[in-house]
Amino acid sequence: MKEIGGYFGLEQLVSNEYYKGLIPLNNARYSLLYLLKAKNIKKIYIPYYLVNVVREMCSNYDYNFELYHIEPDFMPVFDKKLEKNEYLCVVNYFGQLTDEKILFLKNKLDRVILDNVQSFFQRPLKGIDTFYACEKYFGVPDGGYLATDATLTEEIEVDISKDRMTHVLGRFEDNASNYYSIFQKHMLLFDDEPLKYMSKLTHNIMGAIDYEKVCKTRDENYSYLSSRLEKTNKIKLITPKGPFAYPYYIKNGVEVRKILAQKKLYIPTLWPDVIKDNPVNSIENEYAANILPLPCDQRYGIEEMEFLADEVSKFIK
Amino acid sequence: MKEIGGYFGLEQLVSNEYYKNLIPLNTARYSLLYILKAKNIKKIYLPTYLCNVVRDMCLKYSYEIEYYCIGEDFLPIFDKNLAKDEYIFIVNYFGQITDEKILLLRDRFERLVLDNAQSFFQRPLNGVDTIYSCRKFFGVPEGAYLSTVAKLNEEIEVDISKNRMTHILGRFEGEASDYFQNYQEHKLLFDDEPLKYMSKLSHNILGAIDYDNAARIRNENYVYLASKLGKLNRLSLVTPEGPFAYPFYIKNGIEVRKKLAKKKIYIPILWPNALDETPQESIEHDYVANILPLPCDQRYGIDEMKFMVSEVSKYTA
Repeated sequence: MKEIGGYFGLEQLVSNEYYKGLIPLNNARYSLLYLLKAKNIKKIYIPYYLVNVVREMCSNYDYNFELYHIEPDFMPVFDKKLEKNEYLCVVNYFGQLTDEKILFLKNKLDRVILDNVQSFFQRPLKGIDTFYACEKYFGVPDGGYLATDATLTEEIEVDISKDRMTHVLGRFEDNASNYYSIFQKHMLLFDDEPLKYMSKLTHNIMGAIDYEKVCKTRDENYSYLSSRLEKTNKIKLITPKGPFAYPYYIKNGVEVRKILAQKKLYIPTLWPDVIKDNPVNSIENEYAANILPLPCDQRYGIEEMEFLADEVSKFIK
Repeated sequence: MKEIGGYFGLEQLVSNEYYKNLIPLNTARYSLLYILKAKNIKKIYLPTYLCNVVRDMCLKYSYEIEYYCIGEDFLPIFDKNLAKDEYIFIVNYFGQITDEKILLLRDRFERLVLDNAQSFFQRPLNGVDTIYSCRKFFGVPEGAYLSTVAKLNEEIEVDISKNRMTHILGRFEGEASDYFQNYQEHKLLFDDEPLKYMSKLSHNILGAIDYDNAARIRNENYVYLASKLGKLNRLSLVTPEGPFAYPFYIKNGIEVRKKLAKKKIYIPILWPNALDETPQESIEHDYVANILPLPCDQRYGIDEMKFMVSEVSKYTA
């Protein structure tokens, strides 16, 4: 019998997660690992334009991988034939791959894994293994969802998040900069974590989010940014549902970020290693350096978007 | 302009608090302070059957206090006339004071403050200043609601809870005993806190609770305990909505608690200070020592209630 009585632990909140039928895991990269293991994959093709932790995870777990390039419209440049144990990991950059494009890739290549880390609200398509990340979209310390028919027959522990909440709580009641170094430390800790199920704490928070409201705010913010910046944006965009960010292409993106940061506008580089690892004239280097993923998430309203668009516009020649 | 971009703070959850129009404050005791100040009260009558933090607060802020006793039915034994700036503080022990009784008390005393810290779901009545405590009923670090028409014309800070979450998160994902010391330290910190508004963090959690569900489970557990222990209970009880605990009177309550604790059933003494401060033969002393507030809250189901009944029954000779 469990302990009865005494002070309360965190309240069990309303329980209404967005993805109820998917496999809840500790994060996105381990969702890929789940698939690699469960499907007995021997080789995975991953894009050059991707965070290095995926590559490192593949190496750590001894999976053979090969890198591929993308087109300016974010579609894979890939004309190899996939062998039976080979899969292509397709990244849905900024949610710019429509369901039609995803189905086209599925029909062409069959063994496709979709990384929807940047498209949380785009539901999985039948027969396509798809993974999602929670902390990229919501105020949780970790968590991911995986849509797949494959089942991994190995014991998996449930993650524990309680010791990763400092920066999450800190930024909620205080400011981001006071907790940034703790945030970075927590991110690094994941490198030593194995594949786990999503923690009880992350489940609790994910169950109590007003997803409709989040989605609506993101849609409105994205539309606003689009109305202000579309004409000068070198990349042509569709409008995804509940977008991750508004990807704005600008010359000298690396410099512009630094200047924006002085105004407390923090635009991430997705991803620093891509700039380092790819030739200057490659599309990957160019995109990583010059696409500003402008935040359009539920923490902000039109007032912040206005300020953001004003500041970014100062750099348009 | 606030910071834009970067990692997320805790997600803003669905926002549906049980008491939307009351004054949200940091703790129950400071809700009393709010009234003492706002109504310009000079003297407050307190029951001897009470947690010492209320008295300590009154003395710290230089309010005159005088004690009164209660009867077996938890109602005040009080025949003084209250002067214009004198109030009586009435505690709704275990929610046993019905609305009818409260209205009678209101008509008789006029100047009363009702402490509903043990009766969260009993809504405030017209013309009765009423105090609610959140952490006695839910998994939050602190928070209180105050129902009053009085207004305090003084700047009040908003509380910050982020550094009081360790034991709450710890008990949610770990063991209560590992965080008990932490819990005690946090409780002591309140002694040095001033009156504040409820923190953003407590608001966030309290907005995402399924109150119908919590009240329903409490009702079911209470009814179950009453059905098994009612005949053996010297107290004749009403069934409050969403009860705080089931108060079971037992001889040698202090000894019984110690034995139950060995079975990991933790029954608090409400309140240890009252045990030292009241005469051995008084009702107050008897109640503090021998009323076991058996937990019936939303963390537990019938299985736990059954186990608790079987253990408690061992001592009902």
